Amino acid sequence: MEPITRQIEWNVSHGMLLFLYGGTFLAVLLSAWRLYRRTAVWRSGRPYSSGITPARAIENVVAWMFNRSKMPRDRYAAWMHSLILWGFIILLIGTTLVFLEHQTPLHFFYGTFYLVASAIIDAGGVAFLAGLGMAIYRRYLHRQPRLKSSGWVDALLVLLVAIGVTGFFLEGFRIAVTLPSFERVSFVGYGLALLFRSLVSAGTLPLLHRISWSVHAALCVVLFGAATVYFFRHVVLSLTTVALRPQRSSGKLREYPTTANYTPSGTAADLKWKDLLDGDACTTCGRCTSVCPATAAGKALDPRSIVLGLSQLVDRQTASHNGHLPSAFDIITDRELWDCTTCGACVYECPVNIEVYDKIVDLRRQLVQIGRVSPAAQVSLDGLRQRQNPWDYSPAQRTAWSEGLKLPTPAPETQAEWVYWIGCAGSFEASAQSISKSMVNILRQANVSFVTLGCQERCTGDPARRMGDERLFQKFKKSNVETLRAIGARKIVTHCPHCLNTLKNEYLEDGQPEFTVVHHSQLLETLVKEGKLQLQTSDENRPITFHDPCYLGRHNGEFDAPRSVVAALPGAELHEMERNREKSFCCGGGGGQMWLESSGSQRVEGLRLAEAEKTGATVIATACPFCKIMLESASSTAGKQQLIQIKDIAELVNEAIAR
Amino acid sequence: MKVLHTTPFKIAVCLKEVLDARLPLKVEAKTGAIQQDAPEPVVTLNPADRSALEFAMQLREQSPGSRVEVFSVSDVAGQAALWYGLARGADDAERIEGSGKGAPYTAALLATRFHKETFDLICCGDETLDNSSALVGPLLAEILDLPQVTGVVRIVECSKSSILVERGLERGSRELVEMDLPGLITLKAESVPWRYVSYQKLEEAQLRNIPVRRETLPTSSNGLPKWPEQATPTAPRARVKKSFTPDSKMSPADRVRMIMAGGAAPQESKSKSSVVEGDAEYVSEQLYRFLKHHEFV
Amino acid sequence: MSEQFPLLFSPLQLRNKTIKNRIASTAHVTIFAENGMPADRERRYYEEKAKGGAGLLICFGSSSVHPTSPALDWKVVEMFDDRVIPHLQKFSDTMHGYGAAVLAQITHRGRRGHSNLSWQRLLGPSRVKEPNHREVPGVVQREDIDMIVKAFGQAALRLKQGGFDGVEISAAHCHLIDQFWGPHVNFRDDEFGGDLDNRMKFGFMVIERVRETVGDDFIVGIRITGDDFVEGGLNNDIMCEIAQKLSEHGMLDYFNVIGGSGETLPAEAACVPSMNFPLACFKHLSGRIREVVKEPVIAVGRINDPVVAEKLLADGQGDIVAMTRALIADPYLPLKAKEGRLDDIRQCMGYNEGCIDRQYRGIPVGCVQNPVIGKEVDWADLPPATTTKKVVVIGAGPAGLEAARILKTRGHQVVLFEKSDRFGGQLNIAKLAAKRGDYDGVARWLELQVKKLGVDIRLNTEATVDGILAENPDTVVVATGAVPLLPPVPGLQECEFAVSAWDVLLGKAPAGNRVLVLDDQGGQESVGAAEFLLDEGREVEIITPHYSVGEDLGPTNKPPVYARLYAKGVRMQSTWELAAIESGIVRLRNLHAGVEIERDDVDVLVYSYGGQSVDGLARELSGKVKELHNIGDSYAPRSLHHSIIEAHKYAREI
Repeated sequence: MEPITRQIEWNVSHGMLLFLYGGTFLAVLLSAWRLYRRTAVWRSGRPYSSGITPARAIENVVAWMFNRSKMPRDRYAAWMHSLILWGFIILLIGTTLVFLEHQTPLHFFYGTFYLVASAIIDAGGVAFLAGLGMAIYRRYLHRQPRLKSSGWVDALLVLLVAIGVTGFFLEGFRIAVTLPSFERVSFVGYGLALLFRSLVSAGTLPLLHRISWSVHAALCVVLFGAATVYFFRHVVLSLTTVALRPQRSSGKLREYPTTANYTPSGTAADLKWKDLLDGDACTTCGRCTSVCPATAAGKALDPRSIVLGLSQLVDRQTASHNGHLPSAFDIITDRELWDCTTCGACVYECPVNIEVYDKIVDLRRQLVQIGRVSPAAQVSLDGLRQRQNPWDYSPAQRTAWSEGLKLPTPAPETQAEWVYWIGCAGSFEASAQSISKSMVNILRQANVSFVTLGCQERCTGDPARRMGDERLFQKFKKSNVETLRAIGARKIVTHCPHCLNTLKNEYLEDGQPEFTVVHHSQLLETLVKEGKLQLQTSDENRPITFHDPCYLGRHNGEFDAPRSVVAALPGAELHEMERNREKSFCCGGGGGQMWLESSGSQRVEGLRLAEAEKTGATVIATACPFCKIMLESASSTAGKQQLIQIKDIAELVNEAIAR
Repeated sequence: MKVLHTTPFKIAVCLKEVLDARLPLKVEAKTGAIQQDAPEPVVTLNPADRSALEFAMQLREQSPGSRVEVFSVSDVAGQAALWYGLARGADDAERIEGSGKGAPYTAALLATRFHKETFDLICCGDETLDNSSALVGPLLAEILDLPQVTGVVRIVECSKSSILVERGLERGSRELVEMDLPGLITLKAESVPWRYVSYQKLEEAQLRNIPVRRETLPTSSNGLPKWPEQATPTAPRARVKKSFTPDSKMSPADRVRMIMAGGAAPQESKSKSSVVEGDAEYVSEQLYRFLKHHEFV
Repeated sequence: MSEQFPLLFSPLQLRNKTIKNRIASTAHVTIFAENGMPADRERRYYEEKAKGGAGLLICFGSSSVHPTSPALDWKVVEMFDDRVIPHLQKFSDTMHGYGAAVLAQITHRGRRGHSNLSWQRLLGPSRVKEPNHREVPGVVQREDIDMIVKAFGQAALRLKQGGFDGVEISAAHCHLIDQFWGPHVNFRDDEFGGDLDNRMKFGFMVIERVRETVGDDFIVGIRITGDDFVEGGLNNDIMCEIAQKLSEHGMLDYFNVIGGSGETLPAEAACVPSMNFPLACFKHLSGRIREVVKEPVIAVGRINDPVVAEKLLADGQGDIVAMTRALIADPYLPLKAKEGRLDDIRQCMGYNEGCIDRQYRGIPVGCVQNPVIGKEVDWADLPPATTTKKVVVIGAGPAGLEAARILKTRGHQVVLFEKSDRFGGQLNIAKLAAKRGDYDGVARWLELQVKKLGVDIRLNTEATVDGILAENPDTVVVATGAVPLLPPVPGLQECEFAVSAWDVLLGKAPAGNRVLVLDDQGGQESVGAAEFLLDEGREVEIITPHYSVGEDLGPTNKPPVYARLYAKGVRMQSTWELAAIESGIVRLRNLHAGVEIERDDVDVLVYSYGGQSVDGLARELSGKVKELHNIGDSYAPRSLHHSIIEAHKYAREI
C-alpha cells in the first residue's frame, strides 16, 4: 500500500516557490502600505470613543461571522457571504497546512489527517465557488437593483472565481499523474484527474500542472496585493466596523464635543475618525439606500452616497499634495444632509454596523456652525432659542390648550407619582393637543396621580440636536434636567417618542437614572392590563393598522406595548402593514423634517399612507404626535380624511373608555 | 450681490433688540409704553436689523480687510442685539446710552457717535417690529448729511464709491437707485437672507464685554434733541457721472468740434451727394468740375 | 443750506480752510495791475465778487514768479518782488471781510509771450517756439531750473505773508510746467526730458519747493488742462496719467481743470469757451481727472448758471465750479442763487468780447452786459437821484433798456417807447446767426428788470415829437439805434442781387447759389450772414479789405467761427475791397496793389459795412425838451458794449 500522503510542492521548482513566497510577501506589503496611507487620514479625524473592549470586539466579530446578527434579514445574502467566507477560510487553512508541512519541521500531513483535510479542503473550494456563483447570479442575472455595478466588483468576482478554478485544476493535474486511489477523498480533484487523463497524454500532465500552479499562485498574489483597494477592502475593513458595533441605543445621537471658536469646514480633520473608517469599510451593498424614506420619496439623499462620499474624501486627501484639505461639502450637498429624517432604518439595515445617520447629523452640526442653514430650519432653530419651541409659537401659548382643565402643577405639598411631559407638539399643534387632552382624561379616569410642568416645560431639544445645533440642545438639556430635579420627578410619561428618546437616552447619560421615562403606550398597556381602565367592547370588527413611530420602535425597541393597547380596543382587528416593527417605514416627520422645506418628487408620509391603505384598515393607529400630524397631512393632501382615520392610541383609548 | 471693488469697507450697523411682536402686547395707559402681556418677555433682534447685519457681513466677506462694527442705543438689556452681531462675526460692538427716548434721540445719539469716526457705509433696519416708525435711519442720515436710500429690498452691486440697490415701492414695484458712498441705507427685513448663528457662537459672544459710551444731548425747546454739530463740513464726494469724452486719438480740431457740437460726431465737410441729370455733354462737364474741384484731376 | 442748490452751497474743506460754497472765480488776467502791483481797481473788482458771495477767489492770473516770465505785455502782478506783500495784505483783508477764501495764481510762462517789453530772454524746455507768439525761447539750463523753482517758492511765500489762503500753481495754458510735460515741446535729453516721469520732474520740484516753503497750513492747488487740443500734445489720456501722478505725489489740495491751452489759436479760444460752445462744455475733462485724483477738482468752462453748476456737482464732474465769467456778468450771482432769485441773475452769455477778448489784446477786462465791471471804483454804488425827474426813453434796444433800468432804479419816473412789439432792438437780428442765440440773454434780462421795476412801457408805439411832449418829460433819452449802411460803391445802390447782412439773417436774401460776402464791418455780422447762407447750401466766398475776415472778432470767437465756416466750405480772401458793380459784374480791387478783377459768377452780393444812425427823432427834439440825450447807435453806430456803457453813464448822471 502506498503511503497516504503526497510530495509537497511536487513538480514545483524553487523559482516558482520563490515567486509565490516573495510575491505574497510583497503583495501583502503593498496592501499594508496602502491601508497605512488611509489610516493616516483616519487618524487626522476628531476623537471617537466606541467604548468597546477588545473582548467585546471579538465577541461582536464572532457573533457576526456566525450569522447571529444581521445577515438573516437577507437570507440569500447571508448564504452567499457565508459560503464565500467559509470556503475562503477553509482554503486558506489548507494552504497554510501545506506551507507548514513543507517549510517547518512539523510533520502531520499523512494518513487519516491527510484524507480528512483533503476532503474538507475540496468541500471548501466547492462552497467558495458556489457562493461566488450565487453572487454572480444576484448581480448579473437577477440584477438586484440596489447593488452598484462597478469594475472593481466585477474584477473581484473574476479573480476569486479564477483562484477557485485554478486551484482545482492544479489539484486535478497533480492527481492525474499518479492517480492514487486514496485521493478519491479529494472528490473534485479526483474527478478532474480522471477527466484530464482521458483528454491529454500523460507526458503533458506535469507541464499543465506547472502552468495551472503558476496561474493560481499569480492570482493569489494579485488578490493579496489588491486586498485594500476600493471594493476589495471591505472584506478586511468591515470586520473592524463589525467589531466596533455601537452599544448605545440607536436613538441616542453621538456626542459632539464643541470647542471654542471652532469653524469646521467638512475636512477629514473635522470628522470623527470612525466615520472615515466607516466610509472605507462600506460594502456598497446599498441596503441603507433601499430602506431610506428620503430616497424612496425621490429626495436628494442617498445614504450610501454619504458613506461612500467620506471614503471619497479619504481618497482625495491621500491624493492631495499641496496641503489643500478636501472637504466633504464638495462631495456631499447640503440638500442631501437636510433630507434625512433620522429614522434609523439605514443603521438597522447595515450588515456591517456603519453609523449612517450619525454622519449626517455630524455634518449638519458643521453646517450649523458655519451658518449654512436653510431658511425654514432657521425659523425653527431661532424659535427654539427664543421661544423654546420649534414651531416658533409664542411661549405664552404653551398652556393655552389646557385652559379649563385645571391641570395639576408641581407643588411641594403634593407628591404626584407621574410627571406628564406634554411636549411642544402636544402643547401647540391642534391635532396633537387632542392627544394631550385624551391623556389627561385617561389619567384622571384611571386615578393616576400626575402633574404637568405648564409653562416651565420647554422643548427637550430633540429638534435642535437633530438639526445640528448641539449647544442649543445642551442648553435645553441643562434647563430641563434642572427643572425636573427641582420638582423631584421620579417617573415621567410622555406621549411623544421624540421627547421619550431624548429624556431617556440623551439626558441622563452617566450614573443611575434619576427618573424613569415611559411612553404612554407602555403606561396605557399597564393600565389596561391592571384593569384600571375599563374599555368598551364591541362585536363589530374594526380593522386597525398600527404605524410604528421610528423613535418608539426602531430607536427604543417598543413594538408590543402599543399593539397590545390597540388589541384591547373594542372590535379591534390589527392588520399589519407590509413594513412593520423594526422594518417600519418613517412618517417623514423626524430629524427636523417637520419644519424643514420638503423636497423630492413624493412625500414620505404619502408613501406610508398608501401602504396603510393597502391593509384595508379604516383607522391608522399611531403613538407619536409627529406621525399623526404627518399622516394627517398626507391624508388631507390625498383627500382621504373621510376614508381613513388617523388616531393616536391615547385618543382611541379615550374614545373607548367605558362611561 | 456683486462687489466691484475689493478695497476694504468700514461698515457700521445699527441694531435694536425689540419686543417679540408675536406675544400679546399691551400699551400702558399712563406712560404709553408697550409691554408684553406674558410671563416671560421675549426680546429679539429686530428682523430688518438682522438683514442689515447680514448684508454688512456678506460685504465684508467679499472685500477682505473690511470691518463691521455694530452699535445699539439701548440699556443693558439691549446688548443682546450686539452679542448677536458679534456672534454673526462683527469685529466690534458698542452700546450707546443717553437720555431721552424715541427715534430722534436714538438718531441724535448715533450721530454723535458717527461724527467721531467716518464709516463708508451705515446700515440700518428699515423699521422695527415694535415702533415701526422707520425714522432712525433717515434722521441719522440727515443729521450726518449723508446720502441715504431707505426701504432697500435688494443690493445689486457695491463698489468703493457707490452702491446700487433696489428700493421696494408700493404694489411690489421696485426702483433701482444708485447712491454714492459714504452713505446710509436702511434694509427691509426680507432684503438679505440671514445666515444662521449657532448657539455656540452666541454663547461665545456673550462672554465678550461690550463697551458702553454715554452721550448726553441738550434738548431744544420743542423737546426734541438738538442735532449734534457737524464735525466735518465736507460733503460726501460725489461719484463721477461719465459724460461724452472725445477719443484722444482724434485730431485736436475734431475734438474741439465735437465738444462745440455737444458731442455730435464731426461732420465731413460738405459730404453732400447730388444727382446730375442732363445730356451727355452737360453731365460730363459737371463730372469734370466735380473732379477738378476735389483735386482728383 | 439752499434748498435748490444743496451741493453748490455746501462747504468744502481745502487743507486748513473751509470754503463756504462751491462757487469759484478762477484766475484770469485783468490788466488792472499798476507797475506790476495789484491796485485799488483790481481790489474793488474782486471785492464785488466777495461781496456777492463767491466762496473761492483765485486772483491774479498768470502772476509772474520771475522776471523771465513776461509780465508787462498784459500787465500781470509781479509776484517776484517783496514790495507786492503790502498790496496783497490789503487785498486779502478785503476779501476775508466777506468770508471768501482768497488764493492767487503764480506761474512762469516760459516761452509763452513776447520779450519785446521786458527785454528779458524767454525760456523754454527746448528751442521750440510757441505757435501763437512765435518767439523762439532759450533753453532752460540746470541753474535756470533751480532759480525758477526757488522763485516759485518765494512767490508762494509772499502770498502767505500777504495773508492769502493759498496759491495756485499754473501748469496750464502752455506755461513752463506744462511745457516741460508736453511731448511736443520738451525734447530734452537730460533728466527733465524723455519719459513722462522725467518730463514731470520740473513740476514736481516746483510743487515740492512751494509746499516746503509755505508749510502745511496753506492751500496749494494746481491748474492743469484736461485736453490741450494741440496736435501731439497733452491730450486727455496723457493728462489723466499726469493728474494721477500728481495726486499720488500727494502735496496738492485741488486740481483746477481747464480745456484747451494757450499754444495755438483754436486751443487758446477753447480755454475760455465762448457762446460757440455748449454750457459746461468741459465737464467731461474735469470728470475724468476727478476719477483719477483724490483731491477736489474745480470744473471750468462756460458754467454760467447755478442750475448747471448744481447738476455738474451732483454728477461728480467737479467739487467746485468755476463761474468766473458768470461772476463778471453778475458778481451777485451766488447771493441771488442762494435766495432763489434766479430771474435776477444777469447771466453770462459767453460773448467774451467784453472780457477775455479784450484781455488777450492787453485791454482791461470789462463786461458787455455789466457796465460796472472794471469801473467798480466809480460805479459800484448806484446813488439815488437827488431830484426825481420824468424821463422818456425812446427805443427798447440794449441802450434804451439799460438807461430805463438805471433811471428807474435811481428813482426817476420812466416812460419807455418802442415802436415794434418786442424788446432788444438789433439783438433780435444778431441772435439769428448760428450759435448766437445766447445773445438774447442781454435783452431778456434787461426786459425783465425794467418790467419788475415798473417802468411805464409803451410797446408798438412810435415815438413822435408830439407824443413825447405830451408826456411832459424833464428829460428825453433817445436810443433809436441804427440800420445797415450801404457801402459807397458805384452801382451797388442799383444792384438787384445786393443785400445787407441783416436782411440775410432775416431770411430776405435773394435766390442764387453763388454768394459773395463783403466783410468791411469786421465783426459777427458778415460771418454770421455767410454761415447762414452756407447752411442754406449756397456757395459762399467772403472778401475783406482787412487782414482777415472778421478782423475785429476776438481771439476766443474767431477760431470757432472759422472752424465752422471752413468746415462748411467757405472761401475767404483778405485785403480785397468792392470796387464797383456794373451790369451784373462785380469788380474787386486789391487794397494794396490796386489791381482789379471782374467776377461774373456772383448771384448774390452781401454787404456788411457798418451802421447808419437812426437819429431823426433826436434831431427833431433838439431844443424842444429841457434835457436831451442821444445814446448808443443812434448817436454813432458802435458795439453793444458801447451802447450799454453809454446808456449806463448817462442814466447815472441824469
